[in-house]
Amino acid sequence: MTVDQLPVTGRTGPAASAGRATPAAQRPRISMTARRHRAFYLFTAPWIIGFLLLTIVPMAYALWLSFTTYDGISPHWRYVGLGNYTELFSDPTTWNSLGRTGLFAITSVPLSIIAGLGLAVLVNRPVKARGLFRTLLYLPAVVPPVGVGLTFKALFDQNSGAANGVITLFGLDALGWLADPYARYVLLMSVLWAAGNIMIISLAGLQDVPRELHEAARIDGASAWRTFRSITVPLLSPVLLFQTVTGVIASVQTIMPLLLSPDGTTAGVTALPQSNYLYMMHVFSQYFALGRYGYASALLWVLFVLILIVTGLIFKFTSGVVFYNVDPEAKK
Amino acid sequence: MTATSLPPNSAPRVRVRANRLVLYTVLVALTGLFIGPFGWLVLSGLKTPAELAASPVHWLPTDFQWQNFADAFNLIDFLGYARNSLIIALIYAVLVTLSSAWVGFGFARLEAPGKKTLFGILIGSMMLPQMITLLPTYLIFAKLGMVDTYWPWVFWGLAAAPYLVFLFRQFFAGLPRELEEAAIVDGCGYGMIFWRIFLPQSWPVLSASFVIAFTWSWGDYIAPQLLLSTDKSTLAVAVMTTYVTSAGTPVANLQAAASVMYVVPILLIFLIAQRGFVAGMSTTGLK
Amino acid sequence: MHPHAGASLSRRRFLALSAAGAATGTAALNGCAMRVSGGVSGGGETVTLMVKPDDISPELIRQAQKDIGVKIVTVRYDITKLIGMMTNGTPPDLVRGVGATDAPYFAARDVMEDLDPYFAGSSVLRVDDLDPVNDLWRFDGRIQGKGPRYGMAKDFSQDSMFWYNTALFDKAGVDYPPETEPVTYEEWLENAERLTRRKSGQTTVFGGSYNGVSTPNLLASLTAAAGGSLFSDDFSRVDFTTPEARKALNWYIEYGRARVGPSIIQPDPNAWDGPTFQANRMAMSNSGYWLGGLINADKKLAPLARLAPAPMFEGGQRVSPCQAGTGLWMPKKAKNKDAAWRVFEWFFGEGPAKARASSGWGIPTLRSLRPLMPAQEDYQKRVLKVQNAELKHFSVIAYTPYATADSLYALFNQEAPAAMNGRMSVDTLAGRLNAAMNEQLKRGKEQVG
Repeated sequence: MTVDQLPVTGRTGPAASAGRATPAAQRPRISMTARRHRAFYLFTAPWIIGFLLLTIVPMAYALWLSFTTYDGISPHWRYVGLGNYTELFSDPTTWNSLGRTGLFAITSVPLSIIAGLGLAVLVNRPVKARGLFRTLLYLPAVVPPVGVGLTFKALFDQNSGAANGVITLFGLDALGWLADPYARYVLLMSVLWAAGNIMIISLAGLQDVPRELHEAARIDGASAWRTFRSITVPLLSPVLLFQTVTGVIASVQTIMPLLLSPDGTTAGVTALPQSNYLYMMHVFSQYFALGRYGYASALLWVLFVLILIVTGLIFKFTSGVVFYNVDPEAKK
Repeated sequence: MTATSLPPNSAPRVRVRANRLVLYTVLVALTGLFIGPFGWLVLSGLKTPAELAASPVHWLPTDFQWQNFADAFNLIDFLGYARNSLIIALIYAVLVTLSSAWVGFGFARLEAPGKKTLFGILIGSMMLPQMITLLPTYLIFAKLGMVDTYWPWVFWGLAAAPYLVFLFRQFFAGLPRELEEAAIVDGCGYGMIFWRIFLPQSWPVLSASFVIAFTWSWGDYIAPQLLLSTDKSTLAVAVMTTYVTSAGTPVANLQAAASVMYVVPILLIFLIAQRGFVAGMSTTGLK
Repeated sequence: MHPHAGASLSRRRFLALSAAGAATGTAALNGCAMRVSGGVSGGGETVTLMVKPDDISPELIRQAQKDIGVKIVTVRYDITKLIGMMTNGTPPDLVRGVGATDAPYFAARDVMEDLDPYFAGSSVLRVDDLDPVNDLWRFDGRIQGKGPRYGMAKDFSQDSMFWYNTALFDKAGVDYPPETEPVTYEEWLENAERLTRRKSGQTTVFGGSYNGVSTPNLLASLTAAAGGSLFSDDFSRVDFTTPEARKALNWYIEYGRARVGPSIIQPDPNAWDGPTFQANRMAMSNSGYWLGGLINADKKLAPLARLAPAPMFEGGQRVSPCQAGTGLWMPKKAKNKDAAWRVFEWFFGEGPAKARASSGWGIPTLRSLRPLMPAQEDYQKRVLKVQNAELKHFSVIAYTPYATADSLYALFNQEAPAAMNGRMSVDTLAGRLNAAMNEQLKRGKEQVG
């Protein structure tokens, strides 16, 4: 902070007001800093108010629920203190589903970043109909989750789906894609299908990479791969960091396993293949199937804290690696 | 020029041509892979239920059931639900884009004690599992008498969305400092600076934000299901639940046909807003 | 017309039955000797129904306005929303529910209106005209099937019965099951294995599908068929280790292991047997009379499809329960009870009920409507004969008030796949199910008080 802290005193002296004797300038002006402070709160107020009402209140409600046995209907619920929390930590299902979620996050996030980055490099080449390729590759990313679920169920049906149709063409045995142990791969593919999202964002980054840098590297005799690794990736690193963080959040909170279940609605949580029984599905199961609002709320709160920690760790461990082209905080 | 009289640099050129061939092949194959699932959905919508359940798979319908699309359209009040979806998505997308730009400007160009903390909370709130708020949200809007109205989307819109705030904040932070300084000297308030100077500059992020918010709203079926009665509900809810027999069991081919018709508007919006969208998304790469 | 006009027409027809058919059905049945309602007219009131789209169509809602002068507003059935509405003190006036499992659950929590006084004063819904299936909606504080009525079923089927495709039996050289005598479950499974056709990892013909309406209910029914009871006398516990329950569980796990039909380890993305049966890829489908609604509309399939009695276990007893009995109930705190009852009478006893009865998608829940069940074609007559004989074996298999069907279903599905995949013995599974389900039941009992 430099400019902001300059003492902008009310310059009401005759010299200062020469030619600019507007009413605003004449009243005893509050400092520039104070004005900016007030403006800041004015600008962020919509979010702050909305956050308090539509997020903090429900969160607090959920926190309160997490200390009870409330099931929404029954009259005789009671307080259990930290009972739900101690139960969830001793429940192997919690740990198993958390493990699956971790595995899903550390596979789906890097894979979709690699896929998105790869696509971006491909469609950044000077090819004909480049715009068309970009558009077509991106389109799946805007298909709403509901549509993705229906599409993938049709695609991966064991007996009538296209995926097994292709497999059997090659004389191989069809797979039970939507059941264990393959359901996790269908889930992964449903995420990768939206890699166009990362492609578009990376593409914009790629185009920002100064051409001179590439040319300089080429003159130095660097291989394409080295150029990519040493110049392109560092320049893209803020994009990749952002994608990693939002990707982790999205993969932890995904409801895609539900949409891939035969039922396809929240009731589908009762019949999930184990490999897609992620932490969030555990929450859904406790909430919608078992009616344990208190326990499910405790699970959600634990999840929230965990995501916070993981995100914090990601930021911490990447702070030295990520290269910022523009740092808005470092203004002079 | 014959093969025998190739100039000395012919080998690289052949290699370049071979490279291009590989490149195009890879591109076409990948594009096919990405568009394929959607094509399968379209084909599913063109089959009879029995053909949809045929094994081994019937790649193409023996008789294209084009009337599935008409049936899917007529069986429910498709246009009515689409209109509801459109109204809700427009209300939400317009409001949330403006409010997020407003809030994003605050985080990008203004200073105040607690800003860092607030920004941390903003980012942190992206991580909140939305489901946590389902039941209390219903109760809040019920107490306000706003169940079965579109008011909740107005409020959600006005309250800004963390992800979009972040997008705008990145964009505004990257604009040169001189932009508002001149205006401040001229005695402009920050509101005016935002409205007159910054907003007109930010059309790429505006369109990106609009597309993203529109897609969220168009795709969401949990909030409308929770807050709206059947007639006022959205296409996403209808497509998920309405294509059923008298016994409540799903009619898959009509559901597929309806899904295609449900997705197409989103694709169109994206195609229209494409250029701005791409430019706008690039700002997430700042910090 | 093009060669597939028939298929197209039939599809249209079966869709129409869910959407527009009810209205035309009403018109067609004007000559029917039905009592005219003596109830009060709705008088321009609005009634909120929480239902699913198959419960009531927009056409029927308009019809209600015309018939009884009540404006019906529907909200989609959603348990979170129902809880929200009830917590807020503004519940819907009528709520859809599955009689077999929802009735004891909600009744025990004291949120349902006792409808006995309403039935007593109704000339449309007379108690002596009610089919016994409506007893699923009764609960006396301890057991389902007795006590006050809290709701009514809109139609029903005996869900342990099964349909079979004679063409697939012929092709596999398997004898048809007898028409009015039950096969044993063991025979059923044996037949299913002989009827199953596989090719390169795919099941081109499922020998048989047997999953009931929901697994907890199916297991309770199977245990009853083996001569026992899954629940303890006070419904506060399950026991899968009794010989009868063990037998039932073992059979269902064997069914899953044999992979002759859809199951949790081999899910059917259609979520029901209809399309597969229609595609001539399923020799036997455990569905009650209601599947006829689909079959009758398919002129090629209908003559090939037959209904068979519910199987029984060797040495067990012949039971043929209804595992659903979906209908409506009235929340205790409903604001508009009189108008809601008027809708209730109309829905269960007047135009909509008649239309449902003649559609073939279920057995009517008023005895007086039985003559409306479709019996024009020979195959319909044959099915009806089997169905009518089966009605004698109907009984209510009481379900616990302490846990939802979904909760026990979810718990079952967490443990059962290991057993179906052969990685866990049925005895271990029985122990695990006892532990998990009894814990849920204990929680429920504590909350009901």
